[in-house]
Amino acid sequence: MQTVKFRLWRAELLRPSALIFLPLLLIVTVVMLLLYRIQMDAARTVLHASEKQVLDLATHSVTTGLDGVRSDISYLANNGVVQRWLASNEPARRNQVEQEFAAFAAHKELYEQIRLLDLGGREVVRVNWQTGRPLAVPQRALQDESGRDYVRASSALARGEIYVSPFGLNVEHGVIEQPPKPVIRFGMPVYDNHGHKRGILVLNYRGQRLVGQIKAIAAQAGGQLWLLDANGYWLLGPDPQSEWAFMYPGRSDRRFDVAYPDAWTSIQQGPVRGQFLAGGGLYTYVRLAPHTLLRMTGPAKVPDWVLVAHVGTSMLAAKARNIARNLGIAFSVLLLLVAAISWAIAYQNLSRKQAETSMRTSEARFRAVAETANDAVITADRHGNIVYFNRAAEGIFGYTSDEAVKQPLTVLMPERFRRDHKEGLQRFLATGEARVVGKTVELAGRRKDGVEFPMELSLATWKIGDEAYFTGLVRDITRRRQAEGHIRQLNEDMRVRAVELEAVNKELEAFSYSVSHDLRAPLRAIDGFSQVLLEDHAARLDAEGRGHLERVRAAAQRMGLLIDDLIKLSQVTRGEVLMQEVDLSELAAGITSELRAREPQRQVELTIEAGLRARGDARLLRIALENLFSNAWKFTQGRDPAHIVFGHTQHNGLPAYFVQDDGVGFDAAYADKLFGVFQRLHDAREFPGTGIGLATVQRVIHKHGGHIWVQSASGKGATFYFML
Amino acid sequence: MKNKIILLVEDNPDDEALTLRAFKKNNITNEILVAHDGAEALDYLLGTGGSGHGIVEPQVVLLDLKLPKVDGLEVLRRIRAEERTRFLPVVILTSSKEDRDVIESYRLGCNSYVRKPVSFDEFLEAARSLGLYWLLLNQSPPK
Repeated sequence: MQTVKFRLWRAELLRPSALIFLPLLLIVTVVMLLLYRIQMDAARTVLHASEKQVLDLATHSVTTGLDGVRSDISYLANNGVVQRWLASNEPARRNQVEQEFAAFAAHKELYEQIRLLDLGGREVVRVNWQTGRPLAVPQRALQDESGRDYVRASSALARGEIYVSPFGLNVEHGVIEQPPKPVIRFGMPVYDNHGHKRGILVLNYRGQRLVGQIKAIAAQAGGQLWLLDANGYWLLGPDPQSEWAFMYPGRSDRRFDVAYPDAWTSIQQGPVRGQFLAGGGLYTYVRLAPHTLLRMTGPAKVPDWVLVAHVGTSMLAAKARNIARNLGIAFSVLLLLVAAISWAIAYQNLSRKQAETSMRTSEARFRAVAETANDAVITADRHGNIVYFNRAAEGIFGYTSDEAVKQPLTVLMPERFRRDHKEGLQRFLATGEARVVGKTVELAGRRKDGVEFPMELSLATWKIGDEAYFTGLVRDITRRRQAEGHIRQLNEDMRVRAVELEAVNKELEAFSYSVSHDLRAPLRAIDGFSQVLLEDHAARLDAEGRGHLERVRAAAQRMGLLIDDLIKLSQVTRGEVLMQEVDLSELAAGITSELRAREPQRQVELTIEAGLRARGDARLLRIALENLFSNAWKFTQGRDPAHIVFGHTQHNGLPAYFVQDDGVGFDAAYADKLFGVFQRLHDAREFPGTGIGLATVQRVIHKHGGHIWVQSASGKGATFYFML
Repeated sequence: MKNKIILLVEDNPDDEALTLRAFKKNNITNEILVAHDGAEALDYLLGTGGSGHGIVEPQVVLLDLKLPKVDGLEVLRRIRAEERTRFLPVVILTSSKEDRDVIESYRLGCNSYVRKPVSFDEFLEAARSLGLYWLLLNQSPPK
């Protein structure tokens, strides 16, 4: 099994993970967009509702306020103290009215002024609210208000009707009071007990109170709440500079209808209350008619106010941005999550694919190897049942793969091994003790036809998970066994032959010893007693008889030489070669000086090249050179002077030594016969010899792994070359 | 010179006759005792065995190697092993020219090694040289 190493980052993951990521991204995007829309809708709905609620609250506040004013003014106009004063017109009664008004003002804290005017428009009683307490204005400080609109309008009213002035800032002596005091004047005619109209009651309502309540509501709701008059002027607006613009010269264009003309048109043309989106934002409005609020019937005498809850574009956009931002964060997080998931899935897929590929590859490789192997490859599971049987196994065991698979391994073994096999398998699985696993052993196999054959088994074990498997390589070694048997036989034969040869050698040695010793004794006797005959019994022999005896003696002596040469030859053949550095020149000099000493009368000119050295057996080389020089010596007999040369030349790049003479030589046609035993090319009477010398020389050279040859012609001398 | 005995150890009667003749021819008249095998030779020299004749002290022993009963090399070994005959001159006189015989003989302490030539002429010459050397020239160790 091959292990696959995984890295987290890999370029090949980009594509598959993108294929997973992109659809997921699409889904997430669509969901997010939907969510955005839903949230926006919900936010809008909530906003609309809350704006309406804010507006309702403000409306309620205004209504309640005005309703209070209505009941206050009615109460004061019909007050008993006022009625009694009207009936008696006593100054004390007037003081009571003044006290009543002051108490009322202190109790309510709602009114800047509470005044009673006569029908001529002159102030009769006046209580001011000043620095947090009521203050009655003395009679001499009372003013004539007959020219004022509210006086005229109020005087004209029928019983129970109420005049409402436009919302304005308080003006004292022609100057707008600072800080600005918003004020609404309410007027009501006062009737006496007889039903005669006697004057008018005027309340200066502290508009600041109303405005403050609306502001408080707006502040609590967090939006803008505006109060407009019928002309589009802000009474409560986005900033103080824009408020009450109609009171100030040069500010007439600071109006709602100028700033938001579309919205103003929608408000004017729409129902009493409504909500719409227009340029500048969301508008929720209600047109308030003070006339109606004061529960008065008849035609309206006071223009409508408009209460507008406004949410600006920027605020709407900010809300949308907020939602978008929240969703954006969620989207980013989801995006990362989706990317990570895509990557993980792609990674898993790739890992699995690679593992599968690697497994398939190794399996394919195994099969390719196993199917082409010459050895049987057999795999078995932990129960010893065959799970794989390759082609070579089919050939070796005679079962087809289909026949063999699922069979127990024991079918491939002779009976006598089966028990050991089962025990070995059990032991291995139980203890892990392996006697065969991991080794190569020689066993016997059993073919389908029952024939046994020798085989070599190499067994390996491996695991997939917890399952153990065994794979055996089996080689049919029948031929090897045969070859081994053959080699053993050959070795045995050779040993026997060596022993025989040893015996033969021994025998030969004994033989040659016996020859040298025992054959010579009779020869000596023949020669010796022939001599005795010649000496002691010469008188009884004639000349011919004596001649015969001489021949007997010569023959005996010649046989002695033959025996000696044969012994020498056999010694050369039998002896071991002891290689050492040999000075051939020195050897030649020694031999030739012996020859010269033996025949001092011979005139021989010797030329010996100095310093010729070779590796060889000194004893054997001496025998060879002795023979070559004594031949040269012998066959130059009769030359005066004779010439013998010992030297060296090159033959095929290697040194070749030679012994050259200018003797009788021989016919080159017989050169190949020269080295045979007992071969002689000359008459024995002229050149005595045994014909064994050159055979001995050749053996010496051959023993050195060398080579000897000769060049000669009749009467032209001879040259013997040898290489070692 | 007369009292100097030569012990010839030789089993071959032909060789014995020829050797004796060769000495006679060379006018060597010393007493020559002949032992026909190794055992007899040891009997003469060391008094082993019961042949009855007394122990002799020869001037030189001419010893063949190939002998019945006890071979020549064994005889030589026992001569050298015995204190009394330790320095006795022993000349090997044999047909063999084998290196191992020559080497073994010298190793065991022979004084000379002479090969019997086939030619009687050469044999005569050898006998003459031997007699001259061992009976006249050579100084024996003191008794």
